[in-house]
Amino acid sequence: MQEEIERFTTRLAEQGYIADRELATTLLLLQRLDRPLLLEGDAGVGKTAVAQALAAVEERPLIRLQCYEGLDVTHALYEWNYPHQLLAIRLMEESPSPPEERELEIFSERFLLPRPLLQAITSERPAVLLIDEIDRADEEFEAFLLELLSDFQVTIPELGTRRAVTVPRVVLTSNATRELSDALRRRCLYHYLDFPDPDKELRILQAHLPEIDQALAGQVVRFVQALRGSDLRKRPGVAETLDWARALMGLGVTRLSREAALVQQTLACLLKTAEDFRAMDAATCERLLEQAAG
Amino acid sequence: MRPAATPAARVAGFIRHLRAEGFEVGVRETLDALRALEAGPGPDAEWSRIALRALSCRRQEEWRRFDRLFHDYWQPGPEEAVPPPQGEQPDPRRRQGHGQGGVTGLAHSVFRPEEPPGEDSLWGSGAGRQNTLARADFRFLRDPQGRREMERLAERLALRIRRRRGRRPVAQYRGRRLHFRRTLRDTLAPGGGPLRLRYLEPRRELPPLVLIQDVSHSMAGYTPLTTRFVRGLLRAFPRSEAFVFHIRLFRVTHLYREQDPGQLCRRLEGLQELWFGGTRIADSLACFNRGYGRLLRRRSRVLILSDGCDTDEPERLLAEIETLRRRCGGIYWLDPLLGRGSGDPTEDLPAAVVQRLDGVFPAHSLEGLEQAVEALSR
Repeated sequence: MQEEIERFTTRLAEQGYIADRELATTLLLLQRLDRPLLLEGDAGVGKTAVAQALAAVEERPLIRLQCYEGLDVTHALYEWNYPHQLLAIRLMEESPSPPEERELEIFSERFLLPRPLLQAITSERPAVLLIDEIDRADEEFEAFLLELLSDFQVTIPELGTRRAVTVPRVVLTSNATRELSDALRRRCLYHYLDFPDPDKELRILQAHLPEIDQALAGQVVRFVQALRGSDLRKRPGVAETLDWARALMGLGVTRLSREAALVQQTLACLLKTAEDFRAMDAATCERLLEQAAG
Repeated sequence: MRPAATPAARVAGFIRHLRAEGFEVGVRETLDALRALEAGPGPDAEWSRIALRALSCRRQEEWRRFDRLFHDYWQPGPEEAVPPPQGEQPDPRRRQGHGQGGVTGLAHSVFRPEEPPGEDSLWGSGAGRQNTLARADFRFLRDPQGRREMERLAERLALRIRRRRGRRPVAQYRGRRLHFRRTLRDTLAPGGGPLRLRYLEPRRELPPLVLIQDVSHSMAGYTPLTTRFVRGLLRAFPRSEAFVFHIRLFRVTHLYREQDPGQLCRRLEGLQELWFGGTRIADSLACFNRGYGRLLRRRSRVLILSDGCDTDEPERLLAEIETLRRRCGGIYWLDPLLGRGSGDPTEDLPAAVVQRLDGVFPAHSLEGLEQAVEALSR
């Protein structure tokens, strides 16, 4: 088992995702129990990337449903292709078949537009279904998901209940902007993704930017780690670290301590609110640079 | 011999423990947990921990607490084995012995059935291990078995008071049956008269006892020991009351009188507001004097278990001790820090307070607790 976990961690790393042992074990558990996985954590810690890496490792298609306020069944599950249905009705006007048959024909799968959820359960190839930022969707939609997540089936009034042809791996992510219902949580495995420790963040940086200077990578990581310890409204995630490192490389920076002004000017990659910008004055930046210099 | 619990029963026990801690774990999660453990690599603690955590946690705070609960349930004992979850600052409560078995630190002792008393049930019989235990500082005892044994002995030590109060009658100044020998003997001192009658009567009942236990952060390392000791005293003294305090005072007599140790632990763990706040001794004693002073009688003894680390002013503590002293027959103070330093109680308590106490005893070891038992049984 230990070897299997190691192997799985390595395969995730090959896809550019540096996972710790605990996450790798949870993903193996997801495979064995066929239960959805709910990933919570701050924005930018790599929740979405988990599903992408899982799909790549298992060589499954990734089907993504981005949630937002007002998301409904027609955008998430299916919709009828109304223009085609109208056209078909016009064409069938001359048809000798009885009206009941014509109605069945109009509401057949030919005119059904599958949306991500239906695609995921009717796909011949097992898929990875990513339901991203579920906390942004309405509670009604969350309730609708319950049937899908527990039984992997959905009900379409005109066609009846559709059971999954293949059971997809389901990964839900949440930034915890709103409390999810207990019913939804109960159906999922749970994993909380925290900000990575310095060692892990350095490995992530090296995996994504192999050409980065090692000393610069170390300084970037130490700076970001120190910045996260500051009293910020929005702490920078891994995605911001990568953006900043790319920006510094693009500007030809090799050591942070030599380019204090440039560091200050590129903080836009890390800080996302005006409040945080105001808090990060020259003196604070200087202090963080000293920490980064180690 | 008790049959060994099956893995399923042990997992179910752990799930019950999680439920008692407020986790909402259903039957499906329990079944899935068993499936996951079967699918795992056999008895692998790491796999089991991660699988049970993924299945039983619903939110971040549960995620943060889980590792500690898992460790306390399956590997009770010293706390340093479990690192805090990634990115989390270590909880100061953990550094102070909080992890030694649930919130109260009692899980590893009371979740297990009481061990049958051995032939050398207390250290007095001379067993080397128990002699060592008698002097060991509980806070620094790392061996889980030793800690359990020490907790059990503390409770039994307290119960010895009850045994000492036998049925043999003693001479009293009041009574119905004349004690001829003692009456004649007493006439010798004044030269044969005047005659003062002595009576043979059953020994007087144990005085009412009020126990006030400090359960603040600073006492966390000793809480398992002092809780068992208090429980023993409650059983020994029929008319006794127990209170715990940190920044507030709580009456816990009904909880500590619980017969079933497992049930006691579950009930205590369920009342987390009782445990580990800051320390306001004077304020808590003032609360006792105001709200529960009526419980005290002239013969009552008050036993305070605290290290004396107080955020209130010493003058307030002195005033409350004086109020208490006027209402009861004696105040004793058990201080776990006393045994570590020079043995001078004024190092931990204001000298004026010490002067008004009837005794200050160390509470870090069984030997220290025995001194308190001797004083209380007089």
